Amino acid sequence: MAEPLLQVEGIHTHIGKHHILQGVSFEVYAGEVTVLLGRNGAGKTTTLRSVMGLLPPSQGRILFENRAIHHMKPFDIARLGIGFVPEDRGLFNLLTVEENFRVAMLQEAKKSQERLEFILDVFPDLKKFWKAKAGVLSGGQKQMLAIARPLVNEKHPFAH
Amino acid sequence: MDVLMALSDSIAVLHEGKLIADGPPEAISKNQEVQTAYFGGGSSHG
Repeated sequence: MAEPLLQVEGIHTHIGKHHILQGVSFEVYAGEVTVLLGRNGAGKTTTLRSVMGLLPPSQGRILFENRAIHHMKPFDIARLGIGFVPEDRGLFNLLTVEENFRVAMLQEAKKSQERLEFILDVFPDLKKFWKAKAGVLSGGQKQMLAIARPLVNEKHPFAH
Repeated sequence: MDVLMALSDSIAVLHEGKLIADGPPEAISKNQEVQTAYFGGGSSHG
């Protein structure tokens, strides 16, 4: 079997005094869809936020492409190519659809432009509202933008 | 749930901050601990 893309090894994460994740481990392989399943409060959001460096674990390791990332800052983790779609979408409502994509581009312009063309074929509504402020989009269109935005970097999206 | 099972390659199931199962969808759907934790029933359902 191929090497895992992401390895979460026995992580413990606290929020304040609360011990939320208690030794969570799993692996994610390239090209596969891995689902985190659990009831409200089970730790799904905390797991994703731990991987992204937003809630660093106090114990355990997180490896991305065999590189330890659990001590890295969120922006450095994002630059490795892990895209994140937060639960609240995290859109810049006062920026246009185009500008929301521009702020997410972490790679050379030509590559991003090629990715954009692919994305706009998949989500034609976003092309239609290219110059509209993200805040005026419908709920479904906002969700498309939130999902499409990290895809502009051609790496490994992570949805929530 | 059926859609999730059809679209996923693997499922990691969390319950109260702990991983209780990890594997392909068909195995997860038959896992007794997952059924108890996720769908309710049994002594661990709080």
